Amino acid sequence: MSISRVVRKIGIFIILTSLALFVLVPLVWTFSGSLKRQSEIFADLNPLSWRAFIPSSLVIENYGIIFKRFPLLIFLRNSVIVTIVTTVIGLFVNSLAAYGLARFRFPGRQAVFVMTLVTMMLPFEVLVIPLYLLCRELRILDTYYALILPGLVHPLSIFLLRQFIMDIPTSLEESARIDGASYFRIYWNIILPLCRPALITAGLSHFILTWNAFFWPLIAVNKSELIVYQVGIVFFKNDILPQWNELFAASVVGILPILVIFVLLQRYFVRGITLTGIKE
Amino acid sequence: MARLTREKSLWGVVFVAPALLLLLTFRIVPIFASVIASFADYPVTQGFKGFVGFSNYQFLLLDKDVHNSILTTLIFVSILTFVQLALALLCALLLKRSSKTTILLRVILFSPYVISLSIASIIWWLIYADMGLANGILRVFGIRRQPFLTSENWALWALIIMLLWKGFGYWMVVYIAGLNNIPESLYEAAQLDGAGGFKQFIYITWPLLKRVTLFTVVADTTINFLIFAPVYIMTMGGPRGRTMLLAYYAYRTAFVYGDLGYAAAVSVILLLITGVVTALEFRFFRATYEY
Repeated sequence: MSISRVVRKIGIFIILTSLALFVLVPLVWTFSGSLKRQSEIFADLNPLSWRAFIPSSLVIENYGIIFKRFPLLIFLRNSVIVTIVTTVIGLFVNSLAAYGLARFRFPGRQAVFVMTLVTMMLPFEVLVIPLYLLCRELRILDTYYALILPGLVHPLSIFLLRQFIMDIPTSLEESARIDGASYFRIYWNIILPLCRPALITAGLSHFILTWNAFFWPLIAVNKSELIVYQVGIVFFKNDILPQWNELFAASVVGILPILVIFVLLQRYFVRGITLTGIKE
Repeated sequence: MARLTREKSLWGVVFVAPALLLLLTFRIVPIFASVIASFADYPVTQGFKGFVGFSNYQFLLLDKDVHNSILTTLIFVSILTFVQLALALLCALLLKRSSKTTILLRVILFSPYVISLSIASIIWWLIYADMGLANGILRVFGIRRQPFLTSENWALWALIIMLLWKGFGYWMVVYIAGLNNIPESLYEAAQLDGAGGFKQFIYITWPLLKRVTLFTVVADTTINFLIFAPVYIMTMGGPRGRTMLLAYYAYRTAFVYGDLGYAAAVSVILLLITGVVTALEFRFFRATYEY
């Protein structure tokens, strides 16, 4: 009995340790490689030594060089603008819709909700080619509009916020109505503040989705002043054949903001996943 | 009173309107647009040139590249989805109890999910390079250098391993939530009846997890059918079409060969296949127990 338990414990330990290594090794290699010279990266791999995963020489200059060699700073700026604008306006539009769906009865409400659910399951990528046709007809290709407008609605946010609002007791709103508050005032002054945790969850998920988007921004925009970071870094790799340390540094720049936000707010992030998986 | 309800329902419409408008314009209309465009001759340089009936689809039926692409995509999606979810469920079972260690491990296993697919592809492109990390590790075990991404045997597997790395932690979190939703009393009762861990899994966990599994299977399948960035960044569909997934094939048809009508037809086929496969999954995984 106790021997089989020990064997089991060891088995579990081996499985989890190897999976954790599988996940961590590429990341650690990337971070440490971003602080080395290329020759050092190759030397540490051939033969492989533990130094491959330690940023031994701290060549911080890598992070300066990449911005001089390629307009990555412009790409970064575009990503910041697109992501922040999308998330902020998105939170407003999506929470307003969630409030409408949760608290008001009107013809077609059920249809709108079903549409939200269907689009939630249907990844955005499937629409890229027709979306290109549409934006071409609307003449908004190669503008910030093309990068922002199609991504504003985040069905997952509407779903989460609607769920959350439905669990809030209506008594506060009713007394506010009696005091003569408009529905918009109620939304702004009562619903939104109460929704804070759900807003963080929804906003975080929307933020990460927008920051990481690749396929649509690749097609929507050609002008180099409008290219976002995720696309720009691929052009960086293809166009000037950068050294590995530079490619690592550019990757870290794209990963770090999102990783920091994730670690700080992972509690909220996990809650969002949990809710979508469990509820219908 | 009637006036009041009518006014109230009007406000509901007003609040939903902006999201509804955007949803219709950028999610619903494009679906119909792609169906319509698939019946058209639509070169990217000259724009819409008129309808051509089913000729895009006729062409598609005879196109060997499309057949190869559909087959590759089906193999890729089945393997990736199955391994990803099996690994996710295994980890969820091992990490479902909350302690400092398990929470740390969960965060670690989940972390690649927040990294963009494009940067993940660049990192793995370097890992798989001739002088890269994967070959460095193989050398430790005395295995000679492999041409991962340029090998006809390896390339699709290389993509699958990379996407496994990226995604299984996400589904693990979903499964953990599902597991913690199963009433503890059922396990206590099973234990009293002398059922071991394996029996408990077969008779309690798996049946009661069916609803969550339906969600993970359907959602993971749709996502995997549409994988694009890794192919674009790491293999360009090669070597010799071995990684020519449909989403990338549609992109290439549209923006490299400039044939938007044909690309739309390929997208429609992709959407149809995804729809059929998920419908089958719905039938197969429909929950039979409620709790």
